[in-house]
This record gives sequence, C-alpha cells and structure tokens, in this order.
Amino acid sequence: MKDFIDKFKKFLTPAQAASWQTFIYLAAFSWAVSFAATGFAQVFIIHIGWLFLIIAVWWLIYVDEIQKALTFQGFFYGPWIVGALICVFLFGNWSAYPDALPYVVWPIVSFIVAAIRPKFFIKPGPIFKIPDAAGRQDLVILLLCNLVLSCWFQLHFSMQDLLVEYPSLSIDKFDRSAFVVKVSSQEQTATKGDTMLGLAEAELESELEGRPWAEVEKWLYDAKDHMQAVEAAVKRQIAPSKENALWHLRSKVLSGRPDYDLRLFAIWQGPSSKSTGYHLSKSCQIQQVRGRVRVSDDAQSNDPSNLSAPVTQAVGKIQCDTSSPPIFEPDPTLVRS
Amino acid sequence: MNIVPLRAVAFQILFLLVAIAIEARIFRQRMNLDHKTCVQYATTVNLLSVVVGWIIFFAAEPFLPSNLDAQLISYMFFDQLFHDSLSSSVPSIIIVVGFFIFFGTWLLKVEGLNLLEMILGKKKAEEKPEQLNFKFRNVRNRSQNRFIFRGTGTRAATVLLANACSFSAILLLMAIRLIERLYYAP
Repeated sequence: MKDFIDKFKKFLTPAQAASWQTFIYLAAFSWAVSFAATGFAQVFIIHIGWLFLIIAVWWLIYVDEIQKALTFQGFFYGPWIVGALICVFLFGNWSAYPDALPYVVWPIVSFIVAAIRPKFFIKPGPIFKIPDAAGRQDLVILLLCNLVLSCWFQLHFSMQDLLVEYPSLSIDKFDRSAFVVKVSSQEQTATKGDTMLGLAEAELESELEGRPWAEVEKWLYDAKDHMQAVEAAVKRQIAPSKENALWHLRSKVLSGRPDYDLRLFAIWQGPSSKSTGYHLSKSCQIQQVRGRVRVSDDAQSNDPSNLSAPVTQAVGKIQCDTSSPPIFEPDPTLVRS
Repeated sequence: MNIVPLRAVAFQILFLLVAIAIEARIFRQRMNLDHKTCVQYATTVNLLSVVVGWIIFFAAEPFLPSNLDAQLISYMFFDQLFHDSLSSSVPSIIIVVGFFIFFGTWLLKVEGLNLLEMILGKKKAEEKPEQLNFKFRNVRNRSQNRFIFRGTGTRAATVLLANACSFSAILLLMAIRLIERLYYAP
C-alpha cells in the first residue's frame, strides 16, 4: 500500500516546471479560486480552469504508460477522450443548440486532436509538422472515418426527431427495419389514439347526453356525417402535429332498439408495420332513459321558459368503455362499411 | 433513447467492406499501383462518397414534401412502401434517384482520387504498360484525337467499372435480403 502511495506521489510530482501535473494543479487552483469570485469573474476563472484541465489531459494521454494503457489492438483512442472533454467544455452548460451538435462535433474535434501530434509537449519543435505522404493518407482516412461517425450520430438524432414528429410510430414493431433497433420499449401512458377516443367520447356526451330520444336516434342515423364534425373538433383539441392528418375517427352503430351500441374507431393510416395501419376502438352504450331534457347553454339564455319546464321524457344516456389497445388487423365491422 | 440506428450502421459497414474489397481489386488490375495503395484509395473514395451522401441526405430531408416523408419513414422504420396515392410512382422515383446517385458517386470518386493524389503529392497513377500497348495497337489506325481522349479517360473508366461492380454487389446483397424476407419471414 505504501509502495502504491509512493508511486502515486511520484506520478503526481512534476518532473519539470512545464508538465501535465503543473496544468492539473493550475486547474485545481482555478477551481478553488472560482469559489472566491462571483459573477463574470467566476465564470471566466472556471473556463480558464477547464482549459488547464484539457491541456493537462491532452498532455497526459501522451505520457508513455498512459498511451500504452489507452491503446487497443494498436489503435490509440486517447484523442477521443480529449475530444469528449473539449465537447463537454464547449456544450456542457449551454443548451441553445440542437441535441445532436455535441455528438456530431465530437469525432471531428477528436480528429483534430489526433492530427495535431503535440510533439511540443515532450520535445521542443514545431507545433504541427506536415506529415509525409503515408502519414497524410492515414490522416485522410482517419478524417473520413470520423466524418462517417458524425453522420451516424446525426442519423440517430434525425430518426429521434422523426419519432417526435410522428409519435404514433413508436408503439409499432420495428422488427423488419433495416435501420433501427428498439433498445427499450417504454410503455406510453396514453397513446394518441387513446387521447382522441377520450375526446370523441366527451364530444358525443355533449351532443347526445340528455337529448330527446328522437334527436339521439336522428343523430345516430347520420352518425357517419356527424363523425366528421367530431373528428374536426377532436383535432382542434389535440397538440398540433404533422401526423394528425393521418389519424381518422370513424363510428359504427352495431345494434339498435331500444338501446344502441356505438363503436368508435381511431384509425392510424400512416406508415406502419401493417400496410393497413392499426386502430383503437371504444364501444359506447347509448340508452334510453327517462329524464329532464338538457338544454344547451345558448338556448338556455335565449329562452328562459325552457328552464321552468320540468318535463321528463325519453332522453339519451351515453356510457363508454375504456378504449382497446392498438389492434393491427383491420376491424371486420369497418371493412364491411 | 428508444431507438438506435444500429442496423443502418451494420449494413453501412458491410456494404463499405464489400465495395472497398471489390474496388481495390479492380484498381489493382487496371492501375499501376501496389496492393496497399489500392486498398487505401478504394477506402478513401468510398468513405468520401458515404460522407457526401449523408450530408446531401440530411440537407434534403427537411425539404421533402410530406407524402414523400411518409414513404421515407415507412421505408426506414418498416422496410416497406407506404400505400397512398404516391406509392405507384415511388419505383420510378427510386430509379431516377438511383441513376443520379450512381453517376454522382462516379464523378465524386474520380474527383476524390484526383484530390487525394494532390494531397499526397503524387502524380497521376500511370496505366499499366501492357494496357497502354494494347490501347496503342488498338487505336493505331484511328484519329489522334480519339487516342488522347481514351488516354485521359482511362482513369475515369476504371473508376466507372469499379463503381458499377460495387453497386451491383451491394444490390445483390439487398436482393438476397429481400428474397430472404419474402420466403422465410414468419
């Protein structure tokens, strides 16, 4: 143990005034001093401390033992560590950039770090010497490899953006995709179809609940036409999104007299693993009950005589089940219609 | 972090390896270069076309009309066409785009090789002497103009052949994948 501490002490003691240890101490010193400062001065000192730390690590990775430790199968990946550090420094506490930027910049910065062989750390000499033809060929391939890496990072974030624009895709299966794999299937609390059916239920309630039975039956007779108005009303209430045009609400009256069973469908007609898309359904029972006629708000204010007429008559009552999970087969009742 | 384009990366690596292997072999046959240089040249031009291709894709993708957008999503996430009013014209769009991609990569690879040799400070790789003789014999009776054209066009012709072979190989791999999917998919 003592041996180890001695070794560690020796490791941390600078061999000369200009060494990586000096920069580590400078970084630590800046960090300590930053506590004493406030406002702009503090930010400035922290940034200076970061720069010292980056220089120290940059130097450190070229120390023989460290360089050996950071080499895998002859490939020295030290520059990518320094590149990551530089990206954290550049983008760490600044959020006004697209998510992809730090990742896209990282390989490019790392390439620059790898290309500038800092001979000046160890031996005196020019900072950057143009390498010979073989070295230049290696650098060109290294640059292109890093650019491809940047493109892959960008692809990842572009596809995330697509999922944000089309959230209804994410409940589908991506087994057949030649591009993506699902790494975690997070359970979504409410899918868009679910939300739409809930809103449609509320719309139906305001249309049918407490209405005279004759009106209810008339509404159900023209349900197909009324559903377009319901769909438009629902789409006004959900968050605007590119994919909304690909969602449709349909209905089907399944049985009649005396009570009706109205089936509501939210149909996703966008890209899907099934060419027919998927749908969610919700079934609503519309019953005939005796009760007071509910009068809509504006009629109430216009015609106060309605209020004083406690006539009970046959009115509609609507009750809906919870909506089904997404179904990837076309519904037989819908196909027939 | 729900999805990761790992399959895209895997396919890209596979296609790159196939293309580099094929093109390096054709460069070796048709240009007066040693084996290592051929592999390096093929690697460079193929990585370059991948990078330029991605940059064009990322630049164009936000400007796609929304019905092509749906097709692209359907292809990337579900590996199939999206059935709408546009889907009948998708094959012809693919053929036209594929045509431009093929000749675009050809141009890019020729220019990329020139640029690379400029960076490396080499002069243009000479054609193989026996091929030069062959050509000389072949065109002896033709006009001088034609000879010069053939002489400067040889490099481009080699790259065109290499490009055609690597594209064919990649298409073959994609066709195998398609057949596998059609016959063995659950």
